[in-house]
Amino acid sequence: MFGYRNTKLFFKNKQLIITKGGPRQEVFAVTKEQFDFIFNKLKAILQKEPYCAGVFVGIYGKKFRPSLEICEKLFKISKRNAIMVNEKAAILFSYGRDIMLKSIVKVYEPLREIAVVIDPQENVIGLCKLTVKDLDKVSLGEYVVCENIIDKGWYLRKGH
Amino acid sequence: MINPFKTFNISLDYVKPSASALKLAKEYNFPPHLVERYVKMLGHSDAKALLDTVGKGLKKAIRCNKLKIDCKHLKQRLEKKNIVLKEVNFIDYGFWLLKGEDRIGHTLEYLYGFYYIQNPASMLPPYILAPTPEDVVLDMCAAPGGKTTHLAEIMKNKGIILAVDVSREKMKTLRSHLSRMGVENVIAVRMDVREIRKLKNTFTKVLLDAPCSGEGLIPIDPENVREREIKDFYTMASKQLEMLKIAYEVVKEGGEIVYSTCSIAPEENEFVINEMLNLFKDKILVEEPKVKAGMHGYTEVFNVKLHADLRKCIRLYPHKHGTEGFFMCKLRKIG
Repeated sequence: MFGYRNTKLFFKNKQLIITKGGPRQEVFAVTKEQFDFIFNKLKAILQKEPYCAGVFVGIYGKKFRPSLEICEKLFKISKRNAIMVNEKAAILFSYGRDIMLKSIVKVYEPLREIAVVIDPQENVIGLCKLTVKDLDKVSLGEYVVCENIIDKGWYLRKGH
Repeated sequence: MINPFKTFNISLDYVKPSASALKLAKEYNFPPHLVERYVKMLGHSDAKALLDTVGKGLKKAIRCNKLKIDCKHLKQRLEKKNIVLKEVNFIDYGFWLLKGEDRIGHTLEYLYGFYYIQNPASMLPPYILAPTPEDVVLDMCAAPGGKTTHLAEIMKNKGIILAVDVSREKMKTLRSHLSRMGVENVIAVRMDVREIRKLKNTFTKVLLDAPCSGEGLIPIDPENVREREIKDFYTMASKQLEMLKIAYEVVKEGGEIVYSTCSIAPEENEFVINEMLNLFKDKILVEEPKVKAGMHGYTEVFNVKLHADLRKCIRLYPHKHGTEGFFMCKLRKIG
């Protein structure tokens, strides 16, 4: 989604852990220091699983689902796979709405099926799923081209 | 009634209301035993000023998240939305809201994690603890995460913060705030904080924002305070003392502990610290906090003479400082 080199750059000096405490297996990227603390203190002495740690990478299942947090960090490094929308659409997206073609200000190529949504100042608002293969082939401005998967308002509406 | 203080004597006569306290209690529809305490703590006119704040609410404030934005830039962005800020005098990245209080929780900037809505009194404990990126910090009652995210900000997202809380629901809120604010150096664990004592001499710094009676929240939650009986303060103090002893056990020699509550009750504050100083004598010190805020802690109150070092603790009052009523004290474990 963000290129091999960019992804490698973020995960340099980080280790992955999978939490087993909850109903779903969640993946977190932690520093070596955090990793040692989790295994040598939390697990070995307290016999506890972390609820969360470091950066939430995604949910591990049949198919890996990346988190908004990791996509935000990888976009900041790579500046790719993102759709910039106008201020009004950014606010609507943060309330769970989808993206119409007319709201798009700029596209950060190459786009994948799951793209990052950003506001005009390049702040990440969420993730959306493209409903068309080629944005240039859509002529109707009101046409929904990307469906909301998760947005920052979700933290307020539901939370983890 | 539980009396957790074994090293000094307290006579409960101090809650018998005087005629002037009875008059004030009637005027403000507040329990006489509480009013009597306020008169003894603050004097008649200040007690009256405190009671004037009952149910009046507090001005809102925000803490700028320097991990994500430059505070001048945030101020400009919010001003464009007609949200006007004024710097808190003791923390340069804390801001009172002069205009736009009703919208402050609904902006995109909030969702982006550019700030945390927090009373300035609550900004002080992490600021006083002043952890560095090299520290291993324990946040004992971490949820919902206001102080945890602040610690992470001070530590520049480096080092380790172990954030512990027992509440499942509050833990979700903590995690949401950590994500929103871009925090990366926290390990959050849901457990009873008493279990942490197995990690003896592990942490370089400990923040204990202890559960309390909430007596400092008179302006925003007066009904809760009205229900308080004297025994409640001592029951709370018993739990607080137990937690502070745990903090002492898990901090390394030379390490620091900041103890804080959103209560103005000396029973939950100076008495608890005084007991610790008596119990651990030359193995614990009260440190002078490097911040000019609030008033000194009591060294004598309710006819109880306390350690002179308690003067170094900080008290904040709604009628004097416009904040929640708050207490904090910095301690150092010595060898």
